[in-house]
Amino acid sequence: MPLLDVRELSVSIGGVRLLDGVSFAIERGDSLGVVGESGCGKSLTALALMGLLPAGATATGSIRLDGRELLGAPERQWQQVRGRRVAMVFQEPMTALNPVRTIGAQVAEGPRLHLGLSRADAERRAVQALERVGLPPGRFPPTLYPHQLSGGQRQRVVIAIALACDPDLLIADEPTTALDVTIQAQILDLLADLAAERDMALMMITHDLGVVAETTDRMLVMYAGHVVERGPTAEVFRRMAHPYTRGLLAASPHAAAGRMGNAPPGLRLPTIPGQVPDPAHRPHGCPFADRCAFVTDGCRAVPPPEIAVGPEHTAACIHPRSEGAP
Amino acid sequence: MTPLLEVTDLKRDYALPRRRLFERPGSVRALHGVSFAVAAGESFGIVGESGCGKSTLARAVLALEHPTSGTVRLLGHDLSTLRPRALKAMRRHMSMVFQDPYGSLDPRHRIARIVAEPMASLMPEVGRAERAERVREALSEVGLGAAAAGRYPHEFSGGQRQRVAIARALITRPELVVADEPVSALDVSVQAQVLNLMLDLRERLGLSYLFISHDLSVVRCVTDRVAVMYLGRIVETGPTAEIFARPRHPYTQALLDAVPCPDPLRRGHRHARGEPAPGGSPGGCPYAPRCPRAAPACAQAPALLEKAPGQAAACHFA
Repeated sequence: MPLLDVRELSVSIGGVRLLDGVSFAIERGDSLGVVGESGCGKSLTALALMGLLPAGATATGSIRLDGRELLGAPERQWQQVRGRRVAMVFQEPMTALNPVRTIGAQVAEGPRLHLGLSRADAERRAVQALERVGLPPGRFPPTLYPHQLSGGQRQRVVIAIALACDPDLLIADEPTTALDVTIQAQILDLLADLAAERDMALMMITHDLGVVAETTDRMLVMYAGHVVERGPTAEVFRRMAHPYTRGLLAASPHAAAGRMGNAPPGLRLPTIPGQVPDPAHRPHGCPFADRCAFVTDGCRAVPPPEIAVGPEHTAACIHPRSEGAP
Repeated sequence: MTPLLEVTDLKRDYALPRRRLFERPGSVRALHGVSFAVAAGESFGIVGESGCGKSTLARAVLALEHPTSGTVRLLGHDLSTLRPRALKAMRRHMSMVFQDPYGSLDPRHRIARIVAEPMASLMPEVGRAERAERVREALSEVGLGAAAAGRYPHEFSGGQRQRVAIARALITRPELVVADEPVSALDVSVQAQVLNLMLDLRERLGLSYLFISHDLSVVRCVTDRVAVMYLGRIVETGPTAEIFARPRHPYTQALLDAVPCPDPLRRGHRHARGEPAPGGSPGGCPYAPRCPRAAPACAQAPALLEKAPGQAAACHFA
């Protein structure tokens, strides 16, 4: 039985379906990357897994953690899961921390509430957690406040909070977007090391294909509330069966800079024409049809099913690309 | 021929808050003598991490900051010695595109007014009819229809707003556009569209860019030459393609290594240690505390010396 099993998860807000039939599973110790652009539903998926959907959102489908259904569960049951078994690292370390409480108190809060530790034990645990994420008590005593730390150090505190209760699943939602590139590399290494040493499952949500390539074993590509491609990360990068996945890689300056070699600057980047469809007026068939170079009448007729294109590798496209990735 | 923009030994100190009432306030040096030149029609990139002084540099180039010492010359005029009226006359030759297209457009103004604002303030002699014509022209340059003029910023997506911000930057027909992280708030596919637009505009209008970014790949795509900054100093500079192919300064190498590579087969490379912080020996190389190649010689600050044609690095071992 997988640790987390999500089936046909759909989320609507105000009658608009933002997430449409998303299914995936994560095994213990596995790392899953979720990649897509703004509005594709990747953060909404994370919020649904944490039971933090905004008021007015309705969710259907199923979210099972170790076989126990969480969707529609009472708040009391969520409280035993959130922060204890499923923890989250947020994008903005500046706003994720409470500015008027010490970092030690913020890390100790989880163990106090969830594990019932005494104040002294919880504080000892907080110091251990902070030390593990690279903030040794000598230089970073738990009595510091967030404003006394840099952005990268604050993100380490956020990670220590998430780790303090030894969760089974860590959801990292764009954990390095607000950080500099050298600090980003350190934080990604830290997350990968922690997941490996604790046999913790890691769900890495990002818009950056480079981050997915570096930190995950399996990946999902999301577009307009749908999973459009999924599979082992190496397979997906080798083949890139869905035209959207290809467009996303081609448009990224990282890939372009790699292709350029010694070429003089001034080359244009390949772009994906058009814009992400408005969720209230998504096309009936394939959500990517209006922007796709390979579109046919069949694409607009019915939503394309996920078809197998390789070992454990599927794409929701009736014309999957087969030749090597761009 | 004088370069379009020439920055010479630019220093900028910021006063720190006083800890006691009668104490002399301390100061922190954001720029430690930065020099570079940008030719007409050239695109020059500045890369570096938070706190390296790249935004202070942008503000000094636009005469929004007064340098503590050193000069900024635009078209041969030293901006810090110009009288206010002469400085205002120079401002039509330079403009800026900001990072956040949500914060940089006034939500209560229509696009026409937002785009026309630099003209209204810097070129009041231009009549209303011509101003409207220039707004239409600028909007069409950036790929927005004339209908956009009557709408409000909230009606546009992030990428379209950044097009509006670029139209506003072009309205006075400047020679120099300073772009401070112009695409870092945008999605990947929109980023590519805006970068391509900036490349097109440069070719069509002969613009020069001072392009500031922490994203090396973006800088690789749009600049001819690049300077890498670390703690207020240029540590390496040269032709962009050369710097990316053969970085000489260990900091440049660390920056390039840290970029996550979208190829799962090329995982796990060396990563820079620590964070940028003033430290190390006073008068020594600022990068020495993080540098894998640091040696006793690094207690003496290395000068920015030419190591290959057009490529200079401030490192004893480059």
